[in-house]
Amino acid sequence: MSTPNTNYIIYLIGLSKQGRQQAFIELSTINLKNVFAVSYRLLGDVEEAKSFSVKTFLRAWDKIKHFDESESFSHWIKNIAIRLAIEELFRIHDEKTSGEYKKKNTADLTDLEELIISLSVEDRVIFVLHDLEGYSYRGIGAYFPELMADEIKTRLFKTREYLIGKLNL
Amino acid sequence: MNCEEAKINLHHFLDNELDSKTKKEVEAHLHSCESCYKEFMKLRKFFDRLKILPYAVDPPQDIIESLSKELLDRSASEAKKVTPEQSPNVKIKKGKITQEKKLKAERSAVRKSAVSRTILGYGLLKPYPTSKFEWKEIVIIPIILILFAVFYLYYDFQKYNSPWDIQCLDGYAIINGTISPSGKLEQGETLSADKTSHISLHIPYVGRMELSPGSSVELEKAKEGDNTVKVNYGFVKVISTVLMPSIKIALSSSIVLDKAGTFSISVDNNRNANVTVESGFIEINHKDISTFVKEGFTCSINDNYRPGTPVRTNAPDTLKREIGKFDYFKGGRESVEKIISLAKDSDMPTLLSMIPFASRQQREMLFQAVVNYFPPPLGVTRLGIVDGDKDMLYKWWEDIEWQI
Repeated sequence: MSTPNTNYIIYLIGLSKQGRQQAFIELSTINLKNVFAVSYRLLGDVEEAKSFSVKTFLRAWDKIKHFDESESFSHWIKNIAIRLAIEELFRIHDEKTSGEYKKKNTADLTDLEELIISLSVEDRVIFVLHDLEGYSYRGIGAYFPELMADEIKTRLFKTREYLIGKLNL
Repeated sequence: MNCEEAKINLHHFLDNELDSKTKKEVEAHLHSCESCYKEFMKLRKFFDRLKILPYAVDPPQDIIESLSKELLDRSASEAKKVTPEQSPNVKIKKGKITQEKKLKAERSAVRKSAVSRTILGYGLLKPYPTSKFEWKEIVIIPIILILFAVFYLYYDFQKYNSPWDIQCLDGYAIINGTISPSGKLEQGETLSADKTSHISLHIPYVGRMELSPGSSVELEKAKEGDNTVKVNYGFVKVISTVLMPSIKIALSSSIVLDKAGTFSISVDNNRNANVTVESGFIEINHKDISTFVKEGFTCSINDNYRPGTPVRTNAPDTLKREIGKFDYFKGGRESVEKIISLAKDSDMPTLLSMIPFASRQQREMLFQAVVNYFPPPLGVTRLGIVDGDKDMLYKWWEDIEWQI
């Protein structure tokens, strides 16, 4: 799922590390779609996804000096977006019940997208990270320290079957 | 593998996480169980949809605008951190300190300037350079200039070769009116030979000059490359022994340059001169006119006139008279015609020397006369000669000079 860095990306990263904001904005523009999409799929709200996309890029700007060019930049920034979104989801989840937060500010979605967003936070995160973002169970486990790998698998399979059932496949 | 086990393994099968043995067992079960196969197909369709699931929403472009704004705000706040906002009192105080510093610097500069003017004049204090570059400029450049000047003066001084040795071949030498016991002639001194004396003057790195009885010369400059002797009167002979002698003979209104050879100059009491070249050749300069006289030729140089036309030393008197008429008495066409009729092949340098001072019509005649003996060399044209082209005349003169 990670995109290798092109020479242009490496050049922009180099300039960004020197503090050139314009180069970093260019990097952000290139990765905007990925960052926003994953934020939206996890948060399920356009405005929140927007806000968290900006937060993601700002966090990346703060940390870019430590970025290792041998790593995929798109993967690195997407991880930041996921981490921020999940932190937010768990914060809201702790404050409110999951049912209250659904469908706040959604766009025109396909059935499948709508179904994904309607999932519970944990199920959504597991499903999005594994089936849409290509995370391993181990990688997902880092966000759910209380869940065993098999539990994550079981929840994922149930989510799949739920969605298949809703889609009438 | 039963249906329950197969259903659980279908997910692992599509996630490609099964070992080969279990994978084969699942495949075998799917071939035999229609119900499980249907489940498998549903799951595969679901995965196919996920693969082509587009991004739900296009990212709003104002995300980048917001990011730019945030980054700018951060830059601005960082800049503020570097120069924190100061209270008006602090600002005023700082401004005051700055003003005082400026004033102090200006006063110091004025004081230093005043001190420099008074003390520097007595050499008590050296100027105070403010930077490394100024040191270099102030110290090194004058040193280089001084060294250069010293070396040049030393080199130039080496060229002065006064005094010149005098050898009395007959009688005695008179220097500045008195008989010289030293036998040396200094720069600026006059050497004379009375009616019974015959003197030889050694010219360093050139050769010698012989003064016949009743002659007088003045050593105007005794310097290698610029030796100058003025002939006041009498008869002197210059014998150079080097290929490129540097000796000038000054006459009342002309300069004779030795171009390697032997020549003699006689100067009468009216300061009219006559130069005769025995070997090599000489150049006579009068204002912007240059006349070349080759071996075997003679040339009269009247005071305040241009040098006359060089004429063969053993030329008939009639030819010499006609040339004198042409030079000093406006002989005109008639004179030119007579000269041409009297001239032989060895007189052709004479005819060429007349061209600069002849009219256009006379030049045509002279050109034709010379062509009859010596065709012009490459690069010399009739039109050029008639126009009095100096380079062409000299080229033709050179071409003829070695042939006769």
